[in-house]
Amino acid sequence: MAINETIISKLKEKIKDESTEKIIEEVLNTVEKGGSPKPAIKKIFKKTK
Amino acid sequence: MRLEEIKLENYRQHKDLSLNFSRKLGEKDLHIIVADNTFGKTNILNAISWCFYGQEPHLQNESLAVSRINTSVVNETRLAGGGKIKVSVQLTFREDNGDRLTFKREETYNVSNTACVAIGSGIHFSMPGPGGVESVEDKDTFDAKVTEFVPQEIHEFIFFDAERLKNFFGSQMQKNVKTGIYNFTQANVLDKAARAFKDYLNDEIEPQISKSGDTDVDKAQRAKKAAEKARDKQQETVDGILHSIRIAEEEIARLNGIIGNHENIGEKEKKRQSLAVEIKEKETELKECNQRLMVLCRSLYVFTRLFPSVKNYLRFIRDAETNNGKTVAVDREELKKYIDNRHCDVCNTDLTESALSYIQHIIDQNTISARLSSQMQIDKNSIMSAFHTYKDDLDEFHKKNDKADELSLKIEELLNEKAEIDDFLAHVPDTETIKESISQRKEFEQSRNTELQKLGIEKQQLEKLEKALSDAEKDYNLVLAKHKNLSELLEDKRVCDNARKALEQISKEVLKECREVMQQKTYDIFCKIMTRKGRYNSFEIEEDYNVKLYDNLGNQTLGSCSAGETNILAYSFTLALQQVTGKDSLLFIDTPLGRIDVKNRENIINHLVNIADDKQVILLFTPSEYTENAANIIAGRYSSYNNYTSNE
Repeated sequence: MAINETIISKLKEKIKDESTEKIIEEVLNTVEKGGSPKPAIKKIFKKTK
Repeated sequence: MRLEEIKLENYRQHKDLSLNFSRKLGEKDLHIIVADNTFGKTNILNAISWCFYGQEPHLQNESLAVSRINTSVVNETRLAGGGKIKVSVQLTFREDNGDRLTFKREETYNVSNTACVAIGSGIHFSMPGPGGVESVEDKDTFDAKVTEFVPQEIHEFIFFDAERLKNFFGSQMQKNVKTGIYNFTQANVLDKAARAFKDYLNDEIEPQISKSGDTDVDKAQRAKKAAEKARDKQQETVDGILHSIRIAEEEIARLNGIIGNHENIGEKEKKRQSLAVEIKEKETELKECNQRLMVLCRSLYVFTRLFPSVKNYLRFIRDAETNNGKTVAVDREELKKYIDNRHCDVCNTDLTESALSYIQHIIDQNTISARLSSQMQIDKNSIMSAFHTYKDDLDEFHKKNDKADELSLKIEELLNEKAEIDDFLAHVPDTETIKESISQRKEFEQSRNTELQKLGIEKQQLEKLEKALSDAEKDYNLVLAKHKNLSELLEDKRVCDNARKALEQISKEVLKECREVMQQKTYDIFCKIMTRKGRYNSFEIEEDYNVKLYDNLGNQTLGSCSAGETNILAYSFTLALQQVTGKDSLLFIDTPLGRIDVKNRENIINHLVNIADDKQVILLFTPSEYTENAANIIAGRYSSYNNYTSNE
């Protein structure tokens, strides 16, 4: 199951910054698939630097 | 999704049962099963639940101890010298895209002459995959597929036992719905992600900032942490109060369920007592009144019987008084002197023998008349007095008679009122429990109100602390911004902060929106089905999924409305929940009309039949539910009909 479209559009409304939005989406997808979010955040931050 | 087939093998009453629910072309997706109570209809629900979750929530207490293996098969196997028996339930569904999904759970038993022991179990799931049908046999994947397909929290809103609808709005169901909605709206994912950003900030970023060694950063960080701690503590206080309020409201709702429409039982009992006292007083008054009437009756009777004679006598006296019969006023001594002197002084003549004799006659007559006259006067007075008494007695008799009539009517009225209360109280299942529940509810209401007052104060304090935290965070960010070496960490912190706040807000919003849609849809469906239109004004789902149904006077009526109305509300809630959660799946109802009153039965059936245009509806009736009227409504409008009654 993917993250609900309503949630994604709300996210776009609230987060004007595209890169932050992408980070959040990635974390949400990780959580949705049953993955652990904290290492995912760490990985995303490292990747973006 | 549609349920295509249920196959039960050696499961409880069902040695070998296969139910097919294919939709006939051009027909409604309605499937009817009519079966005796002994058939094991509810065990079909248990079989579904067992297949999905390994649980059988619809079992009666006495069945809990009994093995799920079919007993006749066990006996047959024993007669054959023992062996292995497989119990299995297989459910086949078809998705809207045509995919066929099969869920199967089985259990193997070793049966000997002395024992029947489960020796193994297994699950099986299959669905079409890119390379053909994919099969899954490990428990975790099976459970994940079930959760995706029919989450356990809301399975009772798809496969439900209408006999259990009285508990539908109970606290457990509220929790299930809340959890179901929480998962379906993906608020759980949002909250988990929000927590992860918060944890990352606190565990990874903040410690790195601390390491910078700058005093002003350290000071601002400490101030922020202190503000955060104070806010969190206050939040805990508020949450604690909210928890107490929720518990009190759950208890109030539970007690309302017990009290039902026996709300004013205490007042009724007091009224019965006061009526009993009043009836006794009135009866005593009536008794005294009747006793007096008896005395008056006797007196009036005697007088009435004597009245003709008395009347004649009185007339005689009156005649004597008014006509010549009046006695002559003579001086008897004077007349005696005339006789003695043989001379009349009036006319101054001597009296002859004949005159003397006449005078003697007058004297004699005069003597009798005077006694009579005197007696008649006495009699007349007595009679007149008796007449007055008679008249007074008659007046009193009429008054007393009216009073007795009035008292009799009043007593009858009071007895009727008391009989109604007696009847009401006779139908109260357990007077003491009701009274105790009312008293307990009062305590919970008081406790809730106290907590609500506290909540207002504590929430104000929380707002202040949140403002203080926000200020501390701003200060902290300003200080951090001054340190170029922390710019990267500051950026990560900003991302984490923004992400957390956005995710928390979205989570709250989706839950609120979902609740509002649920609320409106439930109410719309409810109004559509209800026979008694216009009685209810609104339906409310609170944040914790505690539901309230208000009537036109603004009273909360859930708990006191009829079983039928509660059922209709439950159906409406279920249909709304299915729509909202996107699990717009089938509706499988055991005893759909069990607790519905006659007036609403037709409406319910019509509604369920109409729903079957867009949704698969499977109804399991008992013969007493499936009346001629129900059969007429359903006739020719279903895709399948199975009758398992003994008559059939």
